[in-house]
Amino acid sequence: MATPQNLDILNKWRLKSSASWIPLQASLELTNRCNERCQHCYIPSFKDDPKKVLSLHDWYLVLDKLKKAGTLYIVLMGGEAMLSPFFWDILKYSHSKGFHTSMITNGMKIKTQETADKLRNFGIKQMSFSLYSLKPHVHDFLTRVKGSHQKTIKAIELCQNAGLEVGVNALLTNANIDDIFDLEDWCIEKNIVFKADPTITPKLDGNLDPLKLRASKEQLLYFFRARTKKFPKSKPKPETYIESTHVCNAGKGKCAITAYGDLIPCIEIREAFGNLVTEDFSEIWKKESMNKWRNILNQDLKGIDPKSKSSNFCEHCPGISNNECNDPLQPTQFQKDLAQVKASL
Amino acid sequence: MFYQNKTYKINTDNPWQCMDQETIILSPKSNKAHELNKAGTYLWNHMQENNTPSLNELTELLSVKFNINGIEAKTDTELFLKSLIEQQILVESDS
Repeated sequence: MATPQNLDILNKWRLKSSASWIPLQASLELTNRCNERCQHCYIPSFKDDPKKVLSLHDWYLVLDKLKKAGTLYIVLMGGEAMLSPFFWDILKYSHSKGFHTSMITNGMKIKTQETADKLRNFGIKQMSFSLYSLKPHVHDFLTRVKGSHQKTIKAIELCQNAGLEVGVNALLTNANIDDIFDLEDWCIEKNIVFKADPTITPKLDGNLDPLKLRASKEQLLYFFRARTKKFPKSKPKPETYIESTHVCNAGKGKCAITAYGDLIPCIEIREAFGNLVTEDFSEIWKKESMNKWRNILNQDLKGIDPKSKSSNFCEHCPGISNNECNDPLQPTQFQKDLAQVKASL
Repeated sequence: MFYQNKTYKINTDNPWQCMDQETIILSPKSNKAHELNKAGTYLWNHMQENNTPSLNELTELLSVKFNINGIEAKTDTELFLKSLIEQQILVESDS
């Protein structure tokens, strides 16, 4: 993702949206269906309930309401967004409404240059591919689909040929951490924006199996040390700990819509506050019950020492904590370890 | 939009949003973000709703809404349109 030149304008709008509770970014989970079976995925069942799934008209209504609510950025995702029967119509409509539309995909459905060109012509602005290694067996081990690596690599090439802005989201796990620098070098060589994120969340039904893939504290230390040595600018930067600062932007400057039209504060916080097909956005958004998520401050977190160096690196996610510890205010051990590793660099 | 003997239309490839009487417009190709003030947002919204407003129509709207004289309103409107054309937010239309 290229950095826009007018960062001051964008930052102003991000701050404004967060302060005014205007959802500048909305993630749309078009479907729960997926053509991969990633070990780390938080979706418990890759199926849509036919009785609850939205029609195309419903999705148009959702986009209309988001435009009115102040959304600028739409992120199409899933499951695999391209498995939605309405994917192309939704993309086209989103573009026509003046949204900046991007997508997160495994690329398995992008098999031809025509498809990649169509994505560009239908107005997609950024493509983020889930790619975990340059080694096919490592990637396929994580996706549990043999041949998925080859298909994703091919899709990336096709989208680059189409002139699309392409990024790679590499989840950092204990299975691919040794290969991650090769992948990053490959991305740099191909002018692909690279992101490595070690955050793995439980499944939405409480199943903790995905957490087995989390990198250990030692592995994280190795990774961040090596990366900082190789790319000094990548060194994690502290954010001054301020007690009265909100821990995240969920339910303020961003929101998410599930495959059934439920409005949730973000993809990690799965509590639905209303359905965007049947209710007005503002009616749902102003519900008092949402404030418990949007009003969480640094000072509310449990077990954080404000004087410790690591408190400046804590990227607490109330949604992950809620799913993992049944307490949105309790940072997980993993979050603490990650903050300590970053502070030690 | 008819201006300087040419017909212009809004470039639909530029994402945009209005908030608190201001507008942000993104230009992905040039990787830039633009911001419109209250008056610009007022004209922008009118242009979104009406595909082919004339310079005179926009000038009149601006003059009435912000209580400024016709000459000043015309100058401001022209500057506004020139800026949008330079940034390829307005592009020439065939029709």
